[in-house]
Amino acid sequence: MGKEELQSKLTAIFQKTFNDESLELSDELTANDVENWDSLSHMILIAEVENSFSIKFKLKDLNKMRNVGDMLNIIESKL
Amino acid sequence: MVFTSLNFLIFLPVVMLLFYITPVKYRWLTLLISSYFFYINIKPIYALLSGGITVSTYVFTRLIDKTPDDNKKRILMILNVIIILLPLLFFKYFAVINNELILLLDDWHLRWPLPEMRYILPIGISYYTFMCIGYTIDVYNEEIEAEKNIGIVALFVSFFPLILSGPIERAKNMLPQFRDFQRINYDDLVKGMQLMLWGFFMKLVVADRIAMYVDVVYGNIESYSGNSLLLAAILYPFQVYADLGGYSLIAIGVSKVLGIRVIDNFKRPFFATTMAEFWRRWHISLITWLTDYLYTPLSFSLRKWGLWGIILALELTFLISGIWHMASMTMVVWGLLQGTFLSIEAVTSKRRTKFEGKYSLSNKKWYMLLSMMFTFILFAISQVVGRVDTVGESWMVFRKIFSEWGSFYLDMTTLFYAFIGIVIIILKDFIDEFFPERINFFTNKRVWVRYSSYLTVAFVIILFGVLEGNSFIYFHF
Amino acid sequence: MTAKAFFIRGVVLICIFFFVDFIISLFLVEGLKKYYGINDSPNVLINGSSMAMNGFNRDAISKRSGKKVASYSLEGVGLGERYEMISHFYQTNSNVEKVIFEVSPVIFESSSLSKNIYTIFYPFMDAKNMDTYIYNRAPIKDYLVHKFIRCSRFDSRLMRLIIMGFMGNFDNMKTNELSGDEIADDKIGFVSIPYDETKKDIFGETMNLIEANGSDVILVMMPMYKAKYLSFNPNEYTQLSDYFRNFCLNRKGFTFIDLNRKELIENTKNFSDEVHLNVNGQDEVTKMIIPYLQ
Repeated sequence: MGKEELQSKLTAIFQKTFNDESLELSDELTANDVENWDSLSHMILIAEVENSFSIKFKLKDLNKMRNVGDMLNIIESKL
Repeated sequence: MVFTSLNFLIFLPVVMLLFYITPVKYRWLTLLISSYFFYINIKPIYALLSGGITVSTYVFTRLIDKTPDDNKKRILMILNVIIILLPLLFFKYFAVINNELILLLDDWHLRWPLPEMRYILPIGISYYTFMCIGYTIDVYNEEIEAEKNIGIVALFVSFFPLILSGPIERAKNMLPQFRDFQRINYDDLVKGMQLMLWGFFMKLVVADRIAMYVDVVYGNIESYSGNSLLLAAILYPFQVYADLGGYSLIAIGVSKVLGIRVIDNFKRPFFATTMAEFWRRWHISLITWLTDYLYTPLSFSLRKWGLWGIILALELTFLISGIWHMASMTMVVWGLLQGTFLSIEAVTSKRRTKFEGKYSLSNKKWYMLLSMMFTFILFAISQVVGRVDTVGESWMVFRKIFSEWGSFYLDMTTLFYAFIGIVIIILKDFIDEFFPERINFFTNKRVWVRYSSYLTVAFVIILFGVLEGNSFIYFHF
Repeated sequence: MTAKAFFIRGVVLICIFFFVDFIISLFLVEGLKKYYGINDSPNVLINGSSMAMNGFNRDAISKRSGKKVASYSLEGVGLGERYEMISHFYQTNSNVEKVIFEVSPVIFESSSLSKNIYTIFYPFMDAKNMDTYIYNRAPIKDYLVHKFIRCSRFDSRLMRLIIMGFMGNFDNMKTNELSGDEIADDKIGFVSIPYDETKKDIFGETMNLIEANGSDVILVMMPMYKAKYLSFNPNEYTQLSDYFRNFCLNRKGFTFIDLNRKELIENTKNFSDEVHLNVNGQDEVTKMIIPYLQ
């Protein structure tokens, strides 16, 4: 899966989870920039990502996700 | 020694002087000695406990750092968490559980082998235990390296501005500052003193004044009518905010005059429009701690159950938060209530966003005000349970509020001062929330505005503060 | 900010603080003195504890007798404190004709005062005798703080009195009425009247002080609701009132009045509790006391 494809798939997950169809992802995007992205929806997001990409995160991976860019890298490393 | 005592007002300048004349390399030692002096002044035996926790944390974090094997690391981490939790569990819960068992078994005419126990909870233990757990887990997660100087770890555990009541700091923020002290910064000195002044105002003028009414009514629920109880229930959240919020400001201010940056603990909580937002503004250092070390691992391991897993994680987190505050059934209910409020909000979140979008409510002023009031009411309800002694009493309070109105207990002088105090605090928060940088008193460009604000607040504290007695509500948590 | 600027500003601020502190405290103490009426060269001084505070209506007595009246009474004070109050009073007042001095069956009690009773004198700490009194009793730290930070001598409770002082409102009226219970027979005469010699000496000294300042004295045995009154040992009560009566006979210008009169103490409408008169009782007492002031 190429980086482009990965990002568009992730964008769809974000849009669905945060209920915002205009949401665009960038590497620097953090939880502070997105309405409703709090510790509750974050875990739903994580579960969605794991299901769609059929991967499993570790707790340590979670601590390393500071922004969307980090998340993309971690997903990529698991595929 | 408490912040509001005369002794502290002598202690602090002495410590500041000693701190700033010590060469930078040895400042940690000056602070460490001062901190132990401060803690020993309350009760000498407590120092043994914080010392023990320090040694255990130091040894284990160093071991974790040196061990390459991940499983062994994990075992070491868990071992230390258990060891440093033991005193907290013992002092906070063992006596309570044991005494409950004695009573329970007595009812069935059975003898429980252990005698009744009465220990005083070592002040601050709940706070520094959490700080040490956080530090240990951070080292395990390789987010920070274990500190090699045991003196600095000891200072982290016992740093006197934070030891009694927080904010619950992180090793990641504190250790680098303790290793390398900044040169004296006079702007920080001024800022720190401003924070302390406002903290003293919140605590002595507002919190302790409200307490005079609330304590009387909650002290004798049976004999007060529903309307008096309702007033007390509305006042109590303001009391706790002024109390712990004011206390935190003093702690942050004291740290600042020593050049140490400490995280904020409250961010204008009563302007939150949802419970989730409220908990991002209320006792922030505790909530972020719980989020990082309890909620995240819990919800992560329960995530396959989707929303229900998250709800379960929420309930458990707040349940533990409740029990951390106090070992009692009421705090169990309090925790479950918070979890439930947040869960309901999470479940209905999508629908609410849609509804608000449809009528474009989210930026309407009246809708915001209504949401703030609703959030306040939910919190006030939970605080009724948090304030009373037994769950049965909280039912009595709610029953009376809804059905038994009678003669209104109005201690006019107290209520008058309390009301003025609340208005001032809320007004200040209002300005900071909606017009930051627009209206300034302490930070005004004009010297005379700044000075008259300082003097006004100082004289209000001297003349209207509740200055005799009364320690902080949160001390024994 | 530079170190120099910081320290200069700090010193300036501290100087302003002490200046403002001084001004505010002068203003507050003035209000308090007005409330007690002790800076007004009064002709009559009422002195006592809460019994006198609730028992005498300063305004009414002043109107009916045509004399300026001061009511320098404080809750919870004993004879020792009252000696200091009267001595403090005479430092600034010299034309007092009569002193109405509260007495009660427990006046010679050895000590039932609260330990920090001295705190009520903080506002008057500038007076030499009050300063000594506080210095001898308060912890040194408390003493110093109140000595140097003058506004710390006042608290929110006093603010009400100060405002009342400036507004010329001296009422201290309780309006509730006692729901009096009859006294059980076995309780009659049960309570012994305390009689501490050192207290009696202080009483004597106080009387000498008043006499030396050229004022007459009216010793007033304050009324108690009958259930309370009857609980005292009747023989001892007679002994005590004889003591006061004889004390007054031996001195020129001294009078003793016992207000425990049947018509007053049997009526629950006169009391807010067993030992404190309410607004009706005040009215009765005023009528009784006026003839003695002429």
